[in-house]
Amino acid sequence: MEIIVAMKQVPDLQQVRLKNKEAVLEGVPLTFGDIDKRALEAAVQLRDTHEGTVHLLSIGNEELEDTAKEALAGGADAATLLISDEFADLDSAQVAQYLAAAIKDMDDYDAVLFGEASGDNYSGQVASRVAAILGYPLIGYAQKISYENGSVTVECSYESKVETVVAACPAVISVVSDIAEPRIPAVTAILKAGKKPKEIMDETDVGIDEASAVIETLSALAPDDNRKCEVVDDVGALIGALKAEKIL
Amino acid sequence: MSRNVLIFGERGNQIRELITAARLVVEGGSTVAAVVNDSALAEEVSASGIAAVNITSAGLNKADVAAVARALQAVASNKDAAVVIVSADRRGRLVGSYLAQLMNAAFISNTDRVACTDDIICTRNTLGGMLCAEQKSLAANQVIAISAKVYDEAPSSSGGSVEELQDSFEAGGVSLIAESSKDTSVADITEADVLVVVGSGVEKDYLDQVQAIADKLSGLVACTKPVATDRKWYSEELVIGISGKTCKPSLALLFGVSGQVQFYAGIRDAKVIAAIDKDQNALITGLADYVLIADTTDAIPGIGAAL
Ligand SMILES: Cc1cc2nc3c(=O)[nH]c(=O)nc-3n(C[C@H](O)[C@H](O)[C@H](O)COP(=O)(O)OP(=O)(O)OC[C@H]3O[C@@H](n4cnc5c(N)ncnc54)[C@H](O)[C@@H]3O)c2cc1C
Repeated sequence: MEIIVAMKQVPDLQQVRLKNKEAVLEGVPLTFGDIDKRALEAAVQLRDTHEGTVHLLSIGNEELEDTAKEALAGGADAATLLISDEFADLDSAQVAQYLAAAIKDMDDYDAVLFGEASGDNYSGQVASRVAAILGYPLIGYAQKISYENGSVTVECSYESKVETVVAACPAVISVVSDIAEPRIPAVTAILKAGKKPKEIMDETDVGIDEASAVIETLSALAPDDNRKCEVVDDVGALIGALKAEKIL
Repeated sequence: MSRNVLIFGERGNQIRELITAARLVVEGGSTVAAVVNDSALAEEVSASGIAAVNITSAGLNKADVAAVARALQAVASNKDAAVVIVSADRRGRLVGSYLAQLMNAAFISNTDRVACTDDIICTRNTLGGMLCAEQKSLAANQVIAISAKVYDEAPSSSGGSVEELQDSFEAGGVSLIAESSKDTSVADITEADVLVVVGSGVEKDYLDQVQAIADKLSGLVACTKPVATDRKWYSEELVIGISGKTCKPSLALLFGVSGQVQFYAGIRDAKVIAAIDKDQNALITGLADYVLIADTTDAIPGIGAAL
């Protein structure tokens, strides 16, 4: 089974600090999003069952080459990385255009996997947009994927029900976080990651001069989280404090 | 500036909330709600005084996102609606974002507030819930996904109508072969005045005692995401956070919750937050009103006995 996994590099949120209510992103390491890592693991497991390859696809600034090693160590066989200064701050519609253009140029594959939403923006729209651009079946919120004779059968997890659907490949599939537990790469896998094939492309290579943004962010500030942060000594003191607040 | 708005949802209460949101932006334009193969739902939502379109095209199944989006695109075009409002649940986000691509539109997901100037300004969490952003569409068309319970349900009103759309739309190649319900008997944590929240720092043997604490406080048990999705101790309906629910209880009592942003974004508006964690450096110690540094295996029985 030939699988592309699209992964987004996001800042490590635990290392983001706030200054005057704004997030300070300078110096914060980038990593692939947690749900994307689970999509990668799901792809690796499918490949191990059905043979084939897992191909990482990602877009970003020059740090992406380094971030990509994480996924190559985590089981991806090869990578296509769209790297340019122009790619540092795209909106989801722009990302989808670039990714879809790159996918069109890639060899035959059966599925393109995405995480249900990115760890930073969490808007969950790139998979749908890519499917719409490519005209491929879109399956969302997959919790289990099986592959047979050129088609996928997928259990999709909605809030109140599970739907099982079938589609002919190639299909675009977004996955929920419980689809798979990401592996911790072995040292040998980390060493081998640097030697795996990588193709690096910029906007000219993907053949899109300019993708227009459709969203403008007018402000992005941290809300006031002014809490008392009072450390109490024991259970009695906690109950006392809550009684004093008149909520017990 | 008058705008026509198309609404898409799958349940009556949800659509009525979206009608309230639509009324904030129409400014004299019209509101129409589209539903798929559900004449009873079309009838129900038209009672809020809007036009409802029941899409009854042969062969259309809800699981085929592309086909549903194409049908909605046709309704939007027919009604001259440049604004589409969908629910920010999983189906709404999927259909809404596909539709946005078809309409060359912006898709603004998980919107917690809409305000209207010359543009529609949407407020939503970004950076994993760390920031609160105001965003607007730069495109002529826009699809806005609105979170549940942000707006009250629109009341009944006269003047509604129902029509059927039977045109056929290109299928998206996805067939539905089975469907099963999840346990939906769980309580609605967004309604609770007291929430007792189970995090990964709670052992399974203590869940009954946590429930007893919630009962004594006339509250509900909720949880963090890993407790529901990895450990599967509770339904995902009980998860607080950006991928779960946003709750505003008077008291949130957290057991073994580290306080990562994705969780905290869903409980930020609680009046009082009390946290029990064994790690004095856990993030939550800086995000709670009262912090007890203790092991949950001691604190849970202790609090249970003291109440
Ligand atoms: C895109 C995305 C979306 C997400 N959405 C959500 C969401 O909506 N909701 C959500 O909750 N998470 C969400 N997450 C996950 C989130 O990042 C955290 O991983 C999660 O909130 C952590 O849950 P936790 O606090 O239960 O576990 P942990 O972070 O593991 O924290 C456990 C805490 O318990 C304490 N502890 C351990 N043992 C004991 C003990 N015996 N006694 C006392 N204290 C103890 C530890 O010190 C620690 O502070 C999301 C992640 C991503 C990437």
